[in-house]
Amino acid sequence: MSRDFKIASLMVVLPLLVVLAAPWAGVRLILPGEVFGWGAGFLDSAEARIFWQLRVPRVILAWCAGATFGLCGMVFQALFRNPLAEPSLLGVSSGAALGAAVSIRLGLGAGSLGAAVTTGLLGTVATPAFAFSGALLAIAIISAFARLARGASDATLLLAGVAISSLFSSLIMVFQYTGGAVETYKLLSWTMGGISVVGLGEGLSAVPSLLITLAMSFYFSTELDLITFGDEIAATRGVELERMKRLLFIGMSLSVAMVVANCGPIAFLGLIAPHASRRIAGPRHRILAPCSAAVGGTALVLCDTAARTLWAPADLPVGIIISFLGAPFFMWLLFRPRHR
Amino acid sequence: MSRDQSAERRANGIEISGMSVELGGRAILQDVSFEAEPGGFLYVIGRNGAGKSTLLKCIAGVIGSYSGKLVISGREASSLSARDRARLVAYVPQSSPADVPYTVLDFIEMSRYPWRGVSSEADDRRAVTEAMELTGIAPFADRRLSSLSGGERQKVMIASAIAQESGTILMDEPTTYLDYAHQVETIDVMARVNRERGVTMIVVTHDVNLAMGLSGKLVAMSGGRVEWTGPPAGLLEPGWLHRIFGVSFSRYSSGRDGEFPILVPERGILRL
Repeated sequence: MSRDFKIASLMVVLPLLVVLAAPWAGVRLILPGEVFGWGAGFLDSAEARIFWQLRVPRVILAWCAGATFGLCGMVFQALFRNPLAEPSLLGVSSGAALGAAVSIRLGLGAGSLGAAVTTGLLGTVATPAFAFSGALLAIAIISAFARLARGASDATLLLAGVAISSLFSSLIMVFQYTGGAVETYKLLSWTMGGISVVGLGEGLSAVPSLLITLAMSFYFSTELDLITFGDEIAATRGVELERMKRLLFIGMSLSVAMVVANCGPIAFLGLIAPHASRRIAGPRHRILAPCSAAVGGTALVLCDTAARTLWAPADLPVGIIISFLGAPFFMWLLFRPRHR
Repeated sequence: MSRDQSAERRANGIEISGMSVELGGRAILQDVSFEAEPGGFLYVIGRNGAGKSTLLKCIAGVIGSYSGKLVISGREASSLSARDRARLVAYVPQSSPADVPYTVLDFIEMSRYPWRGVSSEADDRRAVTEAMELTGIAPFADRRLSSLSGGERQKVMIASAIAQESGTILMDEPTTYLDYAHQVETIDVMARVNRERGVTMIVVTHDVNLAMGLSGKLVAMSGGRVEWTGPPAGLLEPGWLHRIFGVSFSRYSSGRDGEFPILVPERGILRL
């Protein structure tokens, strides 16, 4: 009980500190006095506008996106009973990315991506919808494969994910190669994974996906615990497996798609967050879920802050930094002895 | 309500008639019929590949594609939700995952899942405590499952089935991989759960001597069919053991009056 309390407070205090500190950093450090100046109007100064319209929304988007990836990774690891399962390794992210790229090429892209921005309802809905279809397609292929190759090793499933991933990536590259220069550059930097935001509306765009993943993780927390013991144990303890898996796959695909449509496919976060959380909080999903969300969100905010300060004034795609840190972590995960 | 009454209320019978299962184009079960009386103890014996485990998985609900009739506690099994079925039947698989990071207590508490929303927190706690005490796993309640020995893990699986408080427990080869001490303890727990709590037990085994110690009913399977049903003594009639196990046995006697037969497969003692 007291251990749970310690974990909970750690998971509230640390992310809060990071989130409160992050918006001040950037190409240029903004000081509180410049935003909350005496006698000045709300958005009077350039600094205040940068702070409220760019930095704060960006931190919110990064946090929600990171938390969503963390939760999706946690759910996929439980469902596939595989410690290496993760949206991007399973090909779900690249499926979503392919869908989004198709919509952009069709001229339906919106927001920060669209070269020729199609505004209005079609624009804001089309990219996530296409991304969702792509993510579902990837999930369908992977779970069909998992069912057909039952008894195949963990590695087989992951290799299937890698294969699907590279298949989808090659199709994305076709779009990149055949597009115009501006469009190609936009697609390229977006597939690297980046968080760029204009205005609070975009900043809040990942909130729904976070709410979906968080709600589902809590609702199914005991079921996710049980499925860790295998389908037989879960089913004979009364879990409606088919229904649960279907709901979770759809929910997670939808969330990954919404985030990918905004930020691009950010790899490894779904791997790192749940694993780090498991070391802190243990395996039970009721406490692991908020932990994975907190770690994922905070990690992405930290990396994104690094991305916009390290090479300032250049703004690196945050995906590069995540991959740079994530790849060694992945290696460590592969070589470490399982369950001390 | 006293313990006996609640046990009686819980105990349920299982009726199977004309059950057949085909997996990958191969007939695994053919026209299997038998009945397990409420509160009874029933062994299913036979060689490897006789269809025993498949039969158990059908009753447990792990395999859903069978033809024929399966009635659990008076209800057609196909009409039961996963949760309702888990309230009636608990299942102890032959092997359990060894690499799960949960603690023993975490896992036993999860067995209360089918009763979520119906059972009070106090009832859940009582069921968990009773199951852990009965199986003697209370001392390592806080250890992780991944750190347990095979014998300890088997006890945890049995405790989990007991905590589930269903009227029937199905066990697949519960003693096969255990050392002698753990075997004796496991048999003792099975007998107590059956007698003291009135739980119907259906236990799959290929250990003929284990089955011989039984006072209840025995179902002998071979090649996916039920070959023989009845009290164990009948199996000692000439020819039957060979027909079921594909090998002849020498019979010895133990007990004060030689009342317990011990069967040793002929040529079973190797001289290397």
